[in-house]
Amino acid sequence: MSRAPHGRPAAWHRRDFLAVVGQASLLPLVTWACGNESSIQPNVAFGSCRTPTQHEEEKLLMLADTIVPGGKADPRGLAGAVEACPLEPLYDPMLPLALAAPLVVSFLDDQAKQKYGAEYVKLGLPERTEVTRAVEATSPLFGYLLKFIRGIYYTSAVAYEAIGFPGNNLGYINHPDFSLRRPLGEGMTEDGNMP
Amino acid sequence: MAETRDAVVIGSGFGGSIAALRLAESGRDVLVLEWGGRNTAKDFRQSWDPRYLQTLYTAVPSSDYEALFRYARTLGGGSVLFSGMMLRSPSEVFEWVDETGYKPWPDGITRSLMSPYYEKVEKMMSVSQARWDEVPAGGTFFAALIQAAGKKADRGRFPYVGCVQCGFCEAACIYDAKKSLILNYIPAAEGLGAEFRTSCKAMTIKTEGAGYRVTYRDPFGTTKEVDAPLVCIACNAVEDAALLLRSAPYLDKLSDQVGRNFTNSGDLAWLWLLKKPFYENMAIWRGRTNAVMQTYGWWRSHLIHMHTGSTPPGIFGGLDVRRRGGGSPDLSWGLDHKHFAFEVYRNRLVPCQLSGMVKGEGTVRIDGTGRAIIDLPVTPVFQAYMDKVRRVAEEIAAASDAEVLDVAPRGFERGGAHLQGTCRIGASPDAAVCDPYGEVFNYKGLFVTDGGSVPSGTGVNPSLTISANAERIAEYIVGNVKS
Repeated sequence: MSRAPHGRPAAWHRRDFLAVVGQASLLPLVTWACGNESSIQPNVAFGSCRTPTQHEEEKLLMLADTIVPGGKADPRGLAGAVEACPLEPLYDPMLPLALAAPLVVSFLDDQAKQKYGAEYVKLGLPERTEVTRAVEATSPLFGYLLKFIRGIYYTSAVAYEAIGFPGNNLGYINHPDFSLRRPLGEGMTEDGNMP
Repeated sequence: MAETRDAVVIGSGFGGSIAALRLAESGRDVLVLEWGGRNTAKDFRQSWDPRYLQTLYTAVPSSDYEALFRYARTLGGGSVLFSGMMLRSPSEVFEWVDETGYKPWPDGITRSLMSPYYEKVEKMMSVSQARWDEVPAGGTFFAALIQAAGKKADRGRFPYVGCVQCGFCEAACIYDAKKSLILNYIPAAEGLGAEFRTSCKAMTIKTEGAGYRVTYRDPFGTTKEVDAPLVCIACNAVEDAALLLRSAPYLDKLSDQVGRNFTNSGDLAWLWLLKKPFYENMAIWRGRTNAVMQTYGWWRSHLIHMHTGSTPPGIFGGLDVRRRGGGSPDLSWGLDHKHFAFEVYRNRLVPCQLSGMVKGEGTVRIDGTGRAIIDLPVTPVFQAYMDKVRRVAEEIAAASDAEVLDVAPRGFERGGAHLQGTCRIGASPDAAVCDPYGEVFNYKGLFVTDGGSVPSGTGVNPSLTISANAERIAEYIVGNVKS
């Protein structure tokens, strides 16, 4: 598998990866690393990142693709979590997610086998959605994982573009829509700063 | 062999750095142990990428996974990462009696007593009210909603000088426009000889001779020890409690209140969804992370304070929205959610962050490895508080033909960064961990100087009250505790 310059698998490779999941299990294991992209000093307590198993990674990507569908599943053609998201934070040892993620994906598999007699990763989006809803209803961990997957997606360049957020390193002081000097704001809020 | 200092301060946020400076000014040889790294403007990035943020923040979910709490893990602590709102707590906070009849703030600690300490911090950190031309569009829309509901809003106060309104306050300021502690208290303390040792995590405190022995892990994972007659704990309310609980085998006269009475300052967050946009591109993330405008309109009647945020994309768990009582389509995730988010994000959402007075009923405990676990149950008291807030939120929405969107399974987001009360001050060890001056009951020379010792929610964003309380405690130590 080729890699983007920063060392993580490129997004479009991920969807290729998912397309062959279950057919070719000899894909090299993707290694993940946390927080190594800046000069920020690392944590010193409570261990370091672990590497997810390939099995977990497949399921997490499929779950992400269910939470924020993309590719052909979106008639509007907007990229989804698989294209946009780095999922390393799900393995942050500072978060119990490192434990929660494998648990949730095992729930997904149990539910998928019970309902469709197949592994979660082998299901289509409608079936995955149904299975995921069932797990959501029973697992409090799910909501927590969901929060992170969604949060990661909406801080991606893909989502920034879709919602009109100009992206990083851009200020707004000169933007014409910026301040209360606009008609809507004039004379509206004279006081109220009580103490 | 353990090294020896006059004073050890654990944590370099508001409670730690303020204490460190005042102790250094008194001529003490001060060592500060900070869990996070020594990061400055050159290290910060204008990014909401979680991979970057997790290098500066620690995130801890509540044990039921419903709420997510975060605290800083970098030199300067929360001052580096907060949104900047620094407000004095109103008088009622200090007089407040909780739902069980307990008055958290000890008698004698009043707003007027705190005022000089507030002034001291405001001067050190260059706090001033934002100018009108610094109010971003998001603040304008919040003000419009408040005005439509018959109340007033006004600009908050910030420690900002030369802010360029880039909107990345909570990702740390790359311009040094936010006057965090790394630009004032910390260099001042270092100038007086205090040593700030970063990437060092305090593990336990034991009694040793006439003082204490602090055991910590250095950046290489080596266990080290330092002895001092005076120790100030200030590693945020959650970690304060975890540290004391890890130390409980060696400090057997601690109050059983350690870790109890945890409050997030009554923080609740939600979104108003406008039926029609005010403007085509409202851009709620434009301007400071904290969109400046705030209101005390419901303070006297409800003891709540609200402000808006510019809500960088990704906050609220990536727009965790769902309609009250369900409704179709389900917006919490899936294709419908994605399309809804893209449709409303830029021009129909007004975020609200609320603080208020409610009894702290959370608990911080530790697991077998010493890691903090937070329990934040929705008790009948807290449910009644949420119901009260819900009525206000709906009242404001109704006045502007808007809708209150749920942003979490129980409606409001209950997590956040305003952590207090786990080692609270009080008159007696039956109800508190520290005496009114922050000294741990039964342990002379052991103090809690940060939000952990603040005994209740602060009614408003807590950073200034935590800081003022640290100034108050530090003044007591300097004047009353022998070196």
